[in-house]
Amino acid sequence: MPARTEHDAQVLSGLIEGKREAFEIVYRRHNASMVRVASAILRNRASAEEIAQETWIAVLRNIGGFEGRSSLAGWIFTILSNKAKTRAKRDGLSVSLDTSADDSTFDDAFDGRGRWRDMPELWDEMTPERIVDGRQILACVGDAIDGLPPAQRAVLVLRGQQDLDAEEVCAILGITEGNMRVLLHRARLSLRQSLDRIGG
Amino acid sequence: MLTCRDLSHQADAFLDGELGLWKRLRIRLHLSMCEGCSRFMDQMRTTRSLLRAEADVAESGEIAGIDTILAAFHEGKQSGG
Ligand SMILES: [Zn+2]
Repeated sequence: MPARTEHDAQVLSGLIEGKREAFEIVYRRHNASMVRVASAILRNRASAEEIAQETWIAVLRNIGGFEGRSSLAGWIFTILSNKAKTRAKRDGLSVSLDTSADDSTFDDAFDGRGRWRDMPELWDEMTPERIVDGRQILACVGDAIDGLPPAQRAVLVLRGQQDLDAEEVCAILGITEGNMRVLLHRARLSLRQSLDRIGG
Repeated sequence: MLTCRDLSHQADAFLDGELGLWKRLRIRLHLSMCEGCSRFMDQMRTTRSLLRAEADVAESGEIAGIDTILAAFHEGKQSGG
């Protein structure tokens, strides 16, 4: 997305100059996802919100030292996950995400020859054109994301919503690329299943 | 022969554009003959668009927390922290 890249550069310089508008843009873009990722690590919404807030203060303080070796989002989420992991340790929580992802439930959808047992539904009610004012559907998507196992949720948010590079996601969450792919796939399948319940 | 189950496992990589020419062709061929997988692939596409749309909604949401953060940041600067 080249248009966004140029826009990003403007936002970044605004952020370095301490402009409120620039901060507002970056905050809007990432804050909800930051709370989600932090709560995947901390299993606690209130602590996650605190960590997101601490992260923003650190971002503002240190933005001058951001060297653009990763994306701005990657840099912000790295700070966030470090802070969340430190808090998790302090609170006596396990820091590593449980990356096991069981595919077997989905395999029940197929018969012994690998063909669909039941034909997937046509989602007539959920064409992309209608998504725009489909707040109710989006609320269901939000609930489905929040209901995912923590590791799947974190990967889905970082890769599927925030568009971070695969390597960035792996580094931030401390998982392998193979792990990440399985988790992402599993998360998207779950989401599809939740949508199928409301849309079919 | 690519089964529907095989295709379902490769759907993500296909939509992410991560598959080579030969694998892509095998999937296209299967999709052209299989209504079930065509529907499944459409569902996966829709799932992705909805996921992005959900993120966009969050972007237009409230920003009540912003002032607290800016205040804490400026306070830290004044105290030389
Ligand atoms: Zn098929």
